[in-house]
Amino acid sequence: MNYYLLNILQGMILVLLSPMFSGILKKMKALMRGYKGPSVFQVYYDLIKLFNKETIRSGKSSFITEIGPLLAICISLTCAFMIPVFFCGGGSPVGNLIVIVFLLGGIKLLNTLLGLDSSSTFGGMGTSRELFLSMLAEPVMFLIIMFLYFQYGSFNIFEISAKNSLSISHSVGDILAFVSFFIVLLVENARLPIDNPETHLELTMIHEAMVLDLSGRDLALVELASMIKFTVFISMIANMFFPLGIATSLSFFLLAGAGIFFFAKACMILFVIAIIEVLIAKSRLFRAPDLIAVSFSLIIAAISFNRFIN
Amino acid sequence: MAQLFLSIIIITGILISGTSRMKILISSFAFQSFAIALLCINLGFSYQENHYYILALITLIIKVIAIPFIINKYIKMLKVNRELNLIINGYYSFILSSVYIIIISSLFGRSSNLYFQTGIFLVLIGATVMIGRKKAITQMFGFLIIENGIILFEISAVQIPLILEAGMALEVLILALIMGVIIFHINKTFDTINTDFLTELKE
Repeated sequence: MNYYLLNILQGMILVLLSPMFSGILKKMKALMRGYKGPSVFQVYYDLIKLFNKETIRSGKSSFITEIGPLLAICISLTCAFMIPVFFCGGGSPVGNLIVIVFLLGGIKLLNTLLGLDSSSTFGGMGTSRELFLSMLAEPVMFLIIMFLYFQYGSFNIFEISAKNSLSISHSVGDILAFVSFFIVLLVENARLPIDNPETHLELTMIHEAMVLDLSGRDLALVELASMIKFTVFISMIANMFFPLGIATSLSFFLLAGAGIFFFAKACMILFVIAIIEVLIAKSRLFRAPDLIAVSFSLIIAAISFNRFIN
Repeated sequence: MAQLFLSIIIITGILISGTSRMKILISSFAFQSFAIALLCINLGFSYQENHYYILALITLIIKVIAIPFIINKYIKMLKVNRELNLIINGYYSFILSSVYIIIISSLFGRSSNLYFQTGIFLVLIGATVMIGRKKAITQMFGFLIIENGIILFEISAVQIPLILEAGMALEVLILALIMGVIIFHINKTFDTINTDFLTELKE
C-alpha cells in the first residue's frame, strides 16, 4: 500500500517539475549563447497567464477542439503516473512499456487531430510532418523495448529499473541502446535537428504548426501535455538506462538521495540537449530519415551484440 | 571503461558510414582514433604491458593530430565540404552497417571477443566507404578506417610486432600525405575530384 502511495507521490512530483525542466533547458541555452535568459519559473507564469486568458476557437472547428486538449492532458498525466521517478521498489501493476508507448502515441494522435480540426493550412502541414516522423520513430522505439526485454526479461519499467540498478558495469549494448533512445527522444519531442522549438517559421515548424490556432486554456493544456511528455521521456531514459542512485527500498535517506540523483541526471540530459541545440542547425525534413536510420542501426547493434555474446 | 570506448568506436563507425559532410567525417575519425588510443591505454593498464602504451602513443600522434590536420589543410585547398550523389546513400549505408553487425555477431559472437568483432566491423565500414563514394578524398577515408580496424584486430588476440605496427601507422600517414598531393593534382587537371571523370583521361 505504501508503495502505491509513493508511486502516486512521484508521479505528482514529475508533473509539477515538468514546466521547470523546460525552463531549465531554456535557461541553459540562453547562458550558453551568452545572454541572461528568462527565469526557470517563467514557464509557470506563462501557463498561468494562458489559463486566465479567454479561449477563442475557430468557427470551423468541431467538438474535437473542445475535448482534444483535455484528453491530451489526461493521457499525459496517466503516463506520468506510470513511470518511476526516484523509487522503483516493490514492483508496480502499471508501467508496461508497450502501454506507455501507446499512450504517448495517443498524445500525438490528439495533437494531429487538433491540427487538422482548425482547418488551417499550417495545421495540415504540421500534421503530415509529425506523422511522417513518428512513422519512422515508432519501430525504433519498439526495438528498444525488445532490447530491454531481452536484457532484463520484463516489459515493466519498474522491474527493468530495479534490475538495472543492481548491475555495476554497463555492457556495450546498454550504451548503444541509450544513444539510440536519446535520438528517439529528440525526434519524438520535436527537438533541434528535426524541428526548432523556438521559432514560428511557417515552412519548418512541426509542433507549433499544429497548435497554432489554439489559444487560452486549450493552448495551455496542450503545451503542458507536451512538457509532461518531454519529462516522461527524460525520466524513462534516466531510469531505464542508468538508474544510478534510484531508491529500491523505503528509507528516508535513500529516497531523498534518489530525488537529488534524479534531478542531477535530468539536468545532465537537459545539458546535453542544450549543447546539441546550440551547436547544430536544423536539418532538412528529408534528412530526418537518416538520423532515425542511425538510431535504428544502433539499436540493432545493441540487440545483436548482447544476444549473441551472452 | 573498455565498454564505453568500444561503443564510441561503434557509434562513430556507423556515423562515418553514411555521413556526407567532410567536417563530421574528419572529426568522427579523429574521435574514433582517440577512443582507440584510450582503449590501448586501458588495456596496457590492465595487462601491465608497455607495448600497448607505445601503440596508444603512435595512434594519438599520427591519427588524432597529424592526419586530421593534413586532411583539413587539403580540404581548405580543394574547397570540398560535402559530397553529393553517393553511390550508396546515407540511409542505405546506415541500414547496411546494421546488417554487417548482425552478420558479424552471429558468425563470431561465440568464438571471439568484442575487440575482434569491432575490428571486422570497421574493416567492412571502410570497404563500404571506399566502394560507395565517388570523391577521391572520401575514398581515402576508407583506407584510414580499415587501418583503425586492423589496430583493433591486433589488440584483440594477434600480437603483431611493434616494428610492423609503427610501419603500418607511418604508412597511413604517408598515404594521407601522398593522396593529398595526388588529389590536389587531379583537381588541378580535371577541375574535379570525382573519380567518375577519371575515364576521360586522354593524351
